[in-house]
Amino acid sequence: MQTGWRCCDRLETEAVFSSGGRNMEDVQGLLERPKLYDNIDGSSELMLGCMLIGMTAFQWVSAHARQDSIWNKVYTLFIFVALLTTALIYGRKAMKSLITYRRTGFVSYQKPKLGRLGLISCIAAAAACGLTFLTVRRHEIDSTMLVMIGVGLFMTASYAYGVARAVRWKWIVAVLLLLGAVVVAVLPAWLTSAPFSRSWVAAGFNLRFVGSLFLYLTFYAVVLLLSGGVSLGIYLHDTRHYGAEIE
Amino acid sequence: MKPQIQAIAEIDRVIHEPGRLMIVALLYAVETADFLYLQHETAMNKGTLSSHISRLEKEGYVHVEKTFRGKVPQTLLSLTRTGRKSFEEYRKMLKSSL
Repeated sequence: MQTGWRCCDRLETEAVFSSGGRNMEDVQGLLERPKLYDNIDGSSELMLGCMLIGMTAFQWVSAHARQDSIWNKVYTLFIFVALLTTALIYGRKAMKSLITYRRTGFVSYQKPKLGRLGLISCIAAAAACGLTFLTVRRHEIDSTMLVMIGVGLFMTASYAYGVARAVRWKWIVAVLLLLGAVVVAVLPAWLTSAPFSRSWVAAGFNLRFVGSLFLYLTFYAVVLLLSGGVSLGIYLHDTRHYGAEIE
Repeated sequence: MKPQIQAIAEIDRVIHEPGRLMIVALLYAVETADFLYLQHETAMNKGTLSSHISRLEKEGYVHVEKTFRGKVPQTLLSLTRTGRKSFEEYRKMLKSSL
Protein backbone atom coordinates (compact mmCIF):
# COMPACT_ATOMS: atom_id res chain seq x y z
CA MET A 1 0.00 0.00 0.00
CA GLN A 2 1.58 3.25 -1.13
CA THR A 3 0.04 6.40 0.17
CA GLY A 4 2.09 8.95 -1.68
CA TRP A 5 4.22 9.82 1.29
CA ARG A 6 7.69 8.53 1.90
CA CYS A 7 7.17 8.33 5.62
CA CYS A 8 4.27 6.01 5.20
CA ASP A 9 5.90 3.66 2.77
CA ARG A 10 5.53 0.69 5.04
CA LEU A 11 8.29 -0.21 7.40
CA GLU A 12 10.01 -3.44 6.72
CA THR A 13 11.43 -5.21 9.72
CA GLU A 14 14.90 -5.47 8.25
CA ALA A 15 14.76 -1.84 7.11
CA VAL A 16 14.41 -0.64 10.67
CA PHE A 17 18.10 -1.13 11.04
CA SER A 18 20.74 -0.06 8.61
CA SER A 19 23.95 -1.85 7.67
CA GLY A 20 22.86 -4.92 9.54
CA GLY A 21 23.32 -3.17 12.87
CA ARG A 22 20.92 -1.34 15.13
CA ASN A 23 21.05 2.32 14.52
CA MET A 24 19.78 4.96 16.95
CA GLU A 25 18.80 7.19 14.02
CA ASP A 26 16.43 4.51 12.80
CA VAL A 27 14.79 4.35 16.21
CA GLN A 28 14.53 8.14 16.20
CA GLY A 29 12.95 7.93 12.75
CA LEU A 30 10.36 5.51 14.10
CA LEU A 31 9.48 7.95 16.86
CA GLU A 32 8.85 10.68 14.27
CA ARG A 33 6.51 8.61 12.10
CA PRO A 34 3.29 9.00 14.09
CA LYS A 35 3.63 12.81 14.03
CA LEU A 36 4.05 12.77 10.26
CA TYR A 37 1.09 10.39 9.93
CA ASP A 38 -1.19 13.24 11.00
CA ASN A 39 -1.12 14.73 7.48
CA ILE A 40 -1.20 11.46 5.52
CA ASP A 41 -4.59 12.49 4.10
CA GLY A 42 -3.67 16.14 3.54
CA SER A 43 -6.14 17.20 6.26
CA SER A 44 -3.65 19.46 8.08
CA GLU A 45 -2.96 21.40 4.90
CA LEU A 46 -6.64 21.61 3.99
CA MET A 47 -7.49 22.86 7.48
CA LEU A 48 -4.75 25.49 7.54
CA GLY A 49 -5.58 26.52 3.96
CA CYS A 50 -9.26 27.04 4.87
CA MET A 51 -8.27 28.96 8.00
CA LEU A 52 -6.02 31.31 6.04
CA ILE A 53 -8.58 31.82 3.27
CA GLY A 54 -11.15 32.65 5.93
CA MET A 55 -8.83 35.12 7.63
CA THR A 56 -7.81 36.88 4.42
CA ALA A 57 -11.47 37.07 3.35
CA PHE A 58 -12.29 38.65 6.71
CA GLN A 59 -9.41 41.08 6.28
CA TRP A 60 -10.72 42.06 2.86
CA VAL A 61 -14.31 42.53 4.03
CA SER A 62 -13.35 44.52 7.13
CA ALA A 63 -11.02 46.77 5.13
CA HIS A 64 -13.69 47.54 2.54
CA ALA A 65 -16.51 48.03 5.02
CA ARG A 66 -17.00 51.36 6.77
CA GLN A 67 -14.54 51.88 9.60
CA ASP A 68 -17.36 52.02 12.16
CA SER A 69 -19.23 49.02 10.75
CA ILE A 70 -19.76 45.73 12.58
CA TRP A 71 -16.94 44.13 10.57
CA ASN A 72 -14.43 46.36 12.30
CA LYS A 73 -15.47 45.58 15.87
CA VAL A 74 -13.13 43.43 17.92
CA TYR A 75 -15.92 41.11 19.06
CA THR A 76 -16.82 40.34 15.41
CA LEU A 77 -13.28 39.13 14.83
CA PHE A 78 -13.44 36.95 17.97
CA ILE A 79 -16.78 35.45 16.97
CA PHE A 80 -15.57 34.85 13.42
CA VAL A 81 -12.34 33.17 14.56
CA ALA A 82 -14.21 31.05 17.13
CA LEU A 83 -16.79 29.89 14.56
CA LEU A 84 -14.20 29.22 11.87
CA THR A 85 -11.91 27.31 14.25
CA THR A 86 -14.77 25.22 15.65
CA ALA A 87 -16.02 24.36 12.16
CA LEU A 88 -12.54 23.37 10.99
CA ILE A 89 -11.69 21.30 14.08
CA TYR A 90 -14.95 19.35 13.93
CA GLY A 91 -14.77 19.09 10.14
CA ARG A 92 -11.31 17.58 10.38
CA LYS A 93 -12.41 15.20 13.12
CA ALA A 94 -15.27 14.03 10.93
CA MET A 95 -12.93 13.56 7.98
CA LYS A 96 -10.50 11.54 10.08
CA SER A 97 -13.27 9.45 11.56
CA LEU A 98 -15.04 8.71 8.27
CA ILE A 99 -12.01 8.28 6.02
CA THR A 100 -8.57 8.00 7.61
CA TYR A 101 -9.22 5.85 10.69
CA ARG A 102 -11.11 3.33 8.58
CA ARG A 103 -8.34 3.04 6.03
CA THR A 104 -4.98 3.33 7.74
CA GLY A 105 -5.82 3.32 11.42
CA PHE A 106 -6.50 5.48 14.42
CA VAL A 107 -3.89 7.41 16.39
CA SER A 108 -4.39 9.74 19.34
CA TYR A 109 -1.51 11.99 20.27
CA GLN A 110 -0.12 13.01 23.62
CA LYS A 111 -0.83 16.54 24.73
CA PRO A 112 2.12 18.71 23.66
CA LYS A 113 4.36 20.01 26.42
CA LEU A 114 5.74 23.52 26.17
CA GLY A 115 9.42 22.68 26.05
CA ARG A 116 12.45 24.76 25.23
CA LEU A 117 11.61 24.73 21.52
CA GLY A 118 8.10 25.98 22.27
CA LEU A 119 9.44 28.79 24.40
CA ILE A 120 11.92 29.86 21.71
CA SER A 121 9.12 29.74 19.11
CA CYS A 122 6.91 31.95 21.30
CA ILE A 123 9.70 34.51 21.75
CA ALA A 124 10.46 34.45 18.00
CA ALA A 125 6.76 34.86 17.19
CA ALA A 126 6.46 37.79 19.64
CA ALA A 127 9.53 39.47 18.08
CA ALA A 128 8.10 38.91 14.59
CA CYS A 129 4.74 40.40 15.66
CA GLY A 130 6.52 43.45 17.11
CA LEU A 131 8.51 43.97 13.92
CA THR A 132 5.39 43.54 11.81
CA PHE A 133 3.50 46.06 13.93
CA LEU A 134 6.30 48.60 13.55
CA THR A 135 6.36 48.05 9.80
CA VAL A 136 2.63 48.50 9.51
CA ARG A 137 2.41 51.60 11.67
CA ARG A 138 5.43 53.57 10.55
CA HIS A 139 5.23 54.91 7.05
CA GLU A 140 8.77 56.26 7.10
CA ILE A 141 10.34 52.83 7.56
CA ASP A 142 9.40 50.69 4.62
CA SER A 143 11.11 47.42 5.26
CA THR A 144 8.29 45.50 3.59
CA MET A 145 10.61 43.57 1.32
CA LEU A 146 12.75 42.38 4.21
CA VAL A 147 9.80 41.50 6.43
CA MET A 148 7.99 39.65 3.63
CA ILE A 149 11.06 37.54 2.91
CA GLY A 150 11.32 36.86 6.67
CA VAL A 151 7.65 35.87 6.82
CA GLY A 152 8.12 33.68 3.76
CA LEU A 153 11.18 31.99 5.25
CA PHE A 154 9.40 31.34 8.54
CA MET A 155 6.26 29.98 6.91
CA THR A 156 8.20 27.84 4.44
CA ALA A 157 10.39 26.46 7.22
CA SER A 158 7.29 25.60 9.26
CA TYR A 159 5.80 23.85 6.25
CA ALA A 160 9.02 21.99 5.48
CA TYR A 161 9.35 20.77 9.07
CA GLY A 162 5.72 19.90 9.60
CA VAL A 163 4.72 18.53 6.21
CA ALA A 164 7.43 18.23 3.56
CA ARG A 165 9.63 15.90 5.62
CA ALA A 166 7.05 13.17 5.19
CA VAL A 167 6.52 13.38 1.45
CA ARG A 168 9.22 13.94 -1.11
CA TRP A 169 7.12 15.83 -3.67
CA LYS A 170 6.03 18.32 -1.00
CA TRP A 171 9.50 19.86 -1.18
CA ILE A 172 8.41 21.31 -4.53
CA VAL A 173 5.50 22.93 -2.68
CA ALA A 174 7.92 24.30 -0.07
CA VAL A 175 10.10 25.84 -2.81
CA LEU A 176 6.97 27.29 -4.42
CA LEU A 177 5.94 28.88 -1.11
CA LEU A 178 9.34 30.50 -0.72
CA LEU A 179 9.35 31.71 -4.33
CA GLY A 180 5.90 33.18 -3.76
CA ALA A 181 7.21 35.19 -0.81
CA VAL A 182 10.14 36.51 -2.85
CA VAL A 183 7.90 37.46 -5.78
CA VAL A 184 5.43 39.26 -3.50
CA ALA A 185 8.33 41.03 -1.75
CA VAL A 186 9.72 42.46 -5.00
CA LEU A 187 6.39 43.43 -6.55
CA PRO A 188 6.10 47.21 -7.10
CA ALA A 189 4.33 49.15 -4.36
CA TRP A 190 1.47 50.31 -6.62
CA LEU A 191 0.60 46.69 -7.33
CA THR A 192 0.71 45.38 -3.77
CA SER A 193 -1.15 48.45 -2.50
CA ALA A 194 -3.94 48.02 -5.05
CA PRO A 195 -6.19 45.62 -3.03
CA PHE A 196 -6.62 48.19 -0.24
CA SER A 197 -5.94 51.52 -1.96
CA ARG A 198 -9.62 52.57 -1.83
CA SER A 199 -10.27 51.40 1.70
CA TRP A 200 -10.03 53.18 5.05
CA VAL A 201 -6.82 51.20 5.69
CA ALA A 202 -5.00 53.57 3.32
CA ALA A 203 -5.29 56.41 5.86
CA GLY A 204 -3.38 54.86 8.74
CA PHE A 205 -1.35 51.89 7.61
CA ASN A 206 1.57 50.98 5.39
CA LEU A 207 -0.47 49.91 2.37
CA ARG A 208 2.38 48.16 0.66
CA PHE A 209 2.92 45.90 3.63
CA VAL A 210 -0.76 45.20 4.27
CA GLY A 211 -1.29 44.40 0.57
CA SER A 212 1.84 42.23 0.37
CA LEU A 213 0.82 40.24 3.43
CA PHE A 214 -2.69 39.81 2.06
CA LEU A 215 -1.39 38.60 -1.30
CA TYR A 216 1.13 36.21 0.24
CA LEU A 217 -1.32 34.70 2.73
CA THR A 218 -3.86 34.20 -0.05
CA PHE A 219 -1.21 32.57 -2.20
CA TYR A 220 -0.05 30.40 0.72
CA ALA A 221 -3.62 29.31 1.44
CA VAL A 222 -4.37 28.42 -2.19
CA VAL A 223 -1.14 26.41 -2.48
CA LEU A 224 -1.93 24.56 0.76
CA LEU A 225 -5.45 23.76 -0.42
CA LEU A 226 -4.14 22.44 -3.73
CA SER A 227 -1.38 20.42 -2.07
CA GLY A 228 -3.77 19.04 0.56
CA GLY A 229 -6.30 18.19 -2.15
CA VAL A 230 -3.68 16.28 -4.14
CA SER A 231 -2.60 14.40 -0.98
CA LEU A 232 -6.20 13.47 -0.24
CA GLY A 233 -6.69 12.27 -3.80
CA ILE A 234 -3.55 10.11 -3.69
CA TYR A 235 -4.51 8.78 -0.27
CA LEU A 236 -8.00 7.78 -1.39
CA HIS A 237 -6.58 6.20 -4.52
CA ASP A 238 -3.87 4.21 -2.75
CA THR A 239 -5.70 2.98 0.34
CA ARG A 240 -8.82 1.00 0.80
CA HIS A 241 -11.65 1.02 3.30
CA TYR A 242 -11.18 -1.83 5.75
CA GLY A 243 -14.81 -1.76 6.98
CA ALA A 244 -15.35 -4.45 9.57
CA GLU A 245 -11.74 -5.61 9.47
CA ILE A 246 -10.57 -3.11 12.06
CA GLU A 247 -9.18 -5.41 14.69
CA MET B 1 34.19 -7.46 31.12
CA LYS B 2 34.16 -3.91 29.72
CA PRO B 3 31.12 -1.88 30.85
CA GLN B 4 30.08 -1.32 27.22
CA ILE B 5 29.98 -5.04 26.51
CA GLN B 6 28.22 -5.59 29.81
CA ALA B 7 25.60 -3.07 28.67
CA ILE B 8 24.96 -5.05 25.48
CA ALA B 9 24.39 -8.19 27.51
CA GLU B 10 21.85 -6.39 29.67
CA ILE B 11 19.74 -5.08 26.77
CA ASP B 12 16.02 -5.84 27.12
CA ARG B 13 15.50 -8.74 24.72
CA VAL B 14 11.75 -8.33 24.63
CA ILE B 15 12.08 -4.88 23.08
CA HIS B 16 15.25 -5.71 21.15
CA GLU B 17 13.45 -7.96 18.65
CA PRO B 18 12.96 -5.80 15.47
CA GLY B 19 9.22 -6.38 15.13
CA ARG B 20 8.54 -5.57 18.77
CA LEU B 21 10.93 -2.60 18.66
CA MET B 22 8.88 -1.11 15.84
CA ILE B 23 5.67 -1.56 17.81
CA VAL B 24 7.09 -0.10 21.03
CA ALA B 25 8.75 2.85 19.24
CA LEU B 26 5.57 3.70 17.36
CA LEU B 27 3.46 3.47 20.51
CA TYR B 28 5.99 5.51 22.51
CA ALA B 29 5.32 8.54 20.30
CA VAL B 30 1.53 8.43 20.74
CA GLU B 31 -1.04 8.12 23.47
CA THR B 32 -3.07 5.38 21.78
CA ALA B 33 -3.06 3.70 18.39
CA ASP B 34 -5.20 0.95 16.97
CA PHE B 35 -4.25 -2.40 15.48
CA LEU B 36 -4.91 -1.23 11.92
CA TYR B 37 -2.43 1.65 12.29
CA LEU B 38 0.32 -0.67 13.53
CA GLN B 39 -0.46 -3.13 10.76
CA HIS B 40 -0.28 -0.35 8.17
CA GLU B 41 2.97 1.06 9.52
CA THR B 42 4.83 -2.18 10.17
CA ALA B 43 3.53 -4.19 7.19
CA MET B 44 3.30 -7.25 9.43
CA ASN B 45 0.46 -9.66 8.91
CA LYS B 46 -2.26 -9.95 11.54
CA GLY B 47 -0.89 -13.15 13.06
CA THR B 48 2.67 -11.90 13.49
CA LEU B 49 1.53 -8.56 14.84
CA SER B 50 -0.86 -10.24 17.27
CA SER B 51 1.83 -12.56 18.59
CA HIS B 52 4.24 -9.65 19.15
CA ILE B 53 1.52 -7.66 20.91
CA SER B 54 0.63 -10.66 23.09
CA ARG B 55 4.26 -10.98 24.15
CA LEU B 56 4.47 -7.28 24.98
CA GLU B 57 1.19 -7.48 26.87
CA LYS B 58 2.42 -10.50 28.82
CA GLU B 59 5.51 -8.53 29.87
CA GLY B 60 3.30 -5.65 30.98
CA TYR B 61 4.66 -3.25 28.37
CA VAL B 62 1.48 -2.76 26.35
CA HIS B 63 -2.10 -2.21 27.40
CA VAL B 64 -4.68 -3.71 25.05
CA GLU B 65 -8.27 -2.52 25.05
CA LYS B 66 -10.99 -4.07 22.93
CA THR B 67 -13.64 -1.55 22.01
CA PHE B 68 -16.01 -0.50 19.22
CA ARG B 69 -15.92 2.38 16.78
CA GLY B 70 -19.60 2.54 15.91
CA LYS B 71 -20.43 -1.07 15.13
CA VAL B 72 -16.90 -1.97 14.12
CA PRO B 73 -14.65 -3.74 16.64
CA GLN B 74 -11.41 -1.93 17.35
CA THR B 75 -8.31 -2.87 19.32
CA LEU B 76 -6.67 0.08 21.00
CA LEU B 77 -3.07 -0.19 22.15
CA SER B 78 -0.99 1.99 24.40
CA LEU B 79 2.32 1.68 26.24
CA THR B 80 2.09 1.17 29.97
CA ARG B 81 4.28 3.14 32.37
CA THR B 82 6.54 0.09 32.63
CA GLY B 83 6.70 -0.09 28.84
CA ARG B 84 7.68 3.56 28.53
CA LYS B 85 10.34 3.26 31.21
CA SER B 86 11.75 0.08 29.67
CA PHE B 87 11.93 1.67 26.23
CA GLU B 88 13.69 4.73 27.61
CA GLU B 89 16.21 2.48 29.37
CA TYR B 90 16.63 0.43 26.21
CA ARG B 91 17.45 3.56 24.20
CA LYS B 92 19.90 4.77 26.82
CA MET B 93 21.63 1.42 26.96
CA LEU B 94 21.78 1.11 23.19
CA LYS B 95 23.24 4.60 22.91
CA SER B 96 25.91 3.93 25.51
CA SER B 97 26.92 0.60 24.04
CA LEU B 98 27.22 1.69 20.40
